[in-house]
Amino acid sequence: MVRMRKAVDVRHVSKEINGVKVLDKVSLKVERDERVVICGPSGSGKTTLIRCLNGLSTFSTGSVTVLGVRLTDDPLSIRHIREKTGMCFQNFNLFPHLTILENCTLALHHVRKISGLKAIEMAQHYLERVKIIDQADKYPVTLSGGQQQRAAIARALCMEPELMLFDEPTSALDPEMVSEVLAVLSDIAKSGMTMICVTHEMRFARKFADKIVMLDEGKVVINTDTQDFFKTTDNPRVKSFLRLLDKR
Amino acid sequence: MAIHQSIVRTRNTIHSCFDTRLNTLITLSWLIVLVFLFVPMVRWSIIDSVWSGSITECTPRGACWVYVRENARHLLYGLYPADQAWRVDALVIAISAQLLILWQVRLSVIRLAVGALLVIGMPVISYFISYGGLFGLTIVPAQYWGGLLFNLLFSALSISNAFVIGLLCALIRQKKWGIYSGLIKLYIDLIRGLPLVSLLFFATLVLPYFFFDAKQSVKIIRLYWIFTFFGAAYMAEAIRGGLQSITSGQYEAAAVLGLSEYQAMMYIIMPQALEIAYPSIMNLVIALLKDSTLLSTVAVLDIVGMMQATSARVEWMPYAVEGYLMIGFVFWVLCYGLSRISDRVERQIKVFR
Ligand SMILES: Nc1ncnc2c1ncn2[C@@H]1O[C@H](COP(=O)(O)OP(=O)(O)OP(=O)(O)O)[C@@H](O)[C@H]1O
Ligand SMILES: [Mg+2]
Repeated sequence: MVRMRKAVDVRHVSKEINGVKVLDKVSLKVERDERVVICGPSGSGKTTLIRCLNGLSTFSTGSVTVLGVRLTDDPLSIRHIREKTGMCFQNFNLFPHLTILENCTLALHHVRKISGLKAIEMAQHYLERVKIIDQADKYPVTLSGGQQQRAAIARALCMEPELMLFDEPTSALDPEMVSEVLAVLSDIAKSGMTMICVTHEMRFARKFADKIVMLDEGKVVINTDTQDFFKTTDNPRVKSFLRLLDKR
Repeated sequence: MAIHQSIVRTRNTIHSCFDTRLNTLITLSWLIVLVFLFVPMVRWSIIDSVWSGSITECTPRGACWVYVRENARHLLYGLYPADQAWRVDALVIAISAQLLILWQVRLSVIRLAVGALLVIGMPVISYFISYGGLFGLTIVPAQYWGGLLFNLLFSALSISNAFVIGLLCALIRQKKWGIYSGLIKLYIDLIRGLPLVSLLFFATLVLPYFFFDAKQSVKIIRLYWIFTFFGAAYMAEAIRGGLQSITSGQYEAAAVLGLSEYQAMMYIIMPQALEIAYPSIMNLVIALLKDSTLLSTVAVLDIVGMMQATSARVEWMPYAVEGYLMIGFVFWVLCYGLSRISDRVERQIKVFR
């Protein structure tokens, strides 16, 4: 099989909701094993963009190709993409009626058809990796926010995806729990994984990201290497955005 | 320790009943009411009552529980022939066993199989075993069916069926399947706007003009389905309430893990929705169990119908009160038991909510 170069190839994607352009001719290329941070002010379309990559949101024009699969209306294409793509949400979305371990093994059973002990071993492996193996038999509500998000990351990793999407994984967390989740993200990054992360944690982005994309009112206003991003402080938009974050 | 605590608590409670003048007054008035109400009741129903012996020993001063004892067989089995009563016993045991398995066994394959048997198989099986005519069983027409066990069999099967139909209706409404959702909404609104009694009369008196005939055996089937669809409408609303409280995040989390829509429903959405709807569903189960006594209004010899029939005999006529009290007590025990069970399950659910 020819190894596909691009992990994600978004071309001229636009989306309108009630006449408002939520995404406006967005183009974005992500290489394999590349780490990309998407940032931008609230309401700029970050969530919408990242959800377009795995078919959770639809778009009106343009094309999205993820891991060599072109996203179309065909449910099969969405399924192919989701098989190889993991996603973590702002508010975790763990399944509250299942223990942490069961949260991880459920999709292993029913999607990957891995049964019994093998599935449990895999789940334990990833729970160990995000350092909450001691919480495996608890229910999500009994965990702290940071632990829940790490459990959600382990659940996604269990599917052994080639691409991981994160939508503000730390913004629902108390400050003291942010770092433990970011540490896990850095750890996954080290092991080689294509990752796209929406976040406002710019200090983290500086260390973590290869590339930073900034959205504003549905448009890509900046798409550069991390070093260049922090150097281009002469760009008024970046300046005002970074200043806004510092003030928080 | 625990005993000491409960003594202290009791003492505090008693103290608080008499701590102010007003509280003392309230407490004393209550005590007087209790004495006036309960003493005669206890006297009539226990102290002065006749429990054994023959009817001739009964006096107007006390309850005549001999009535219940002498008629126990009829109150339990209706007019079902004594030498055939084992057929009813067998059905009660079989259905109880299936409910127990559904309640206690966690393995989903077994639960699905038993659930399907209970909902699809058992109504038909129960009908043919009760009616007979197959496998050399003598025919017992439906006029002979009745008693408490009829109430229990009828409502257990009907409620199980209502649950499944309600579940399907709730799903279809949730899915917004165009015309079908609209039709189901119409059906639910229609049923909820009609009293059960009127539906039962409809099944008994009106339906025979269109379908089937007026034979009692077929009448039971008509009543069964009316009763079931009555319960199903309420079940659908209870379950829909549960479904609505599941956030879109749960659907999305299931979708990005690659679960199909069916799998997401089966393993993520439904278990949570049913847990949330659980108290309302149990409420409904208790209400429907009690409502099964309304069958007596359409000449079915269920426990109430049978009790009225027995107390219509001259020698038992003065003792209808005992009959009604006994029925009240039996249903109170049944419903109290059910609500205790539902409390227990609810607490288990709260652990992880
Ligand atoms: N379902 C929807 N219906 C109507 N408008 C929507 C919907 N989803 C998003 N929008 C609009 O689209 C725009 C972009 O939303 P989006 O959630 O992508 O922003 P965001 O960059 O993720 O913001 P935040 O930082 O607050 O999460 C917003 O103006 C929002 O009001
Ligand atoms: Mg967002």
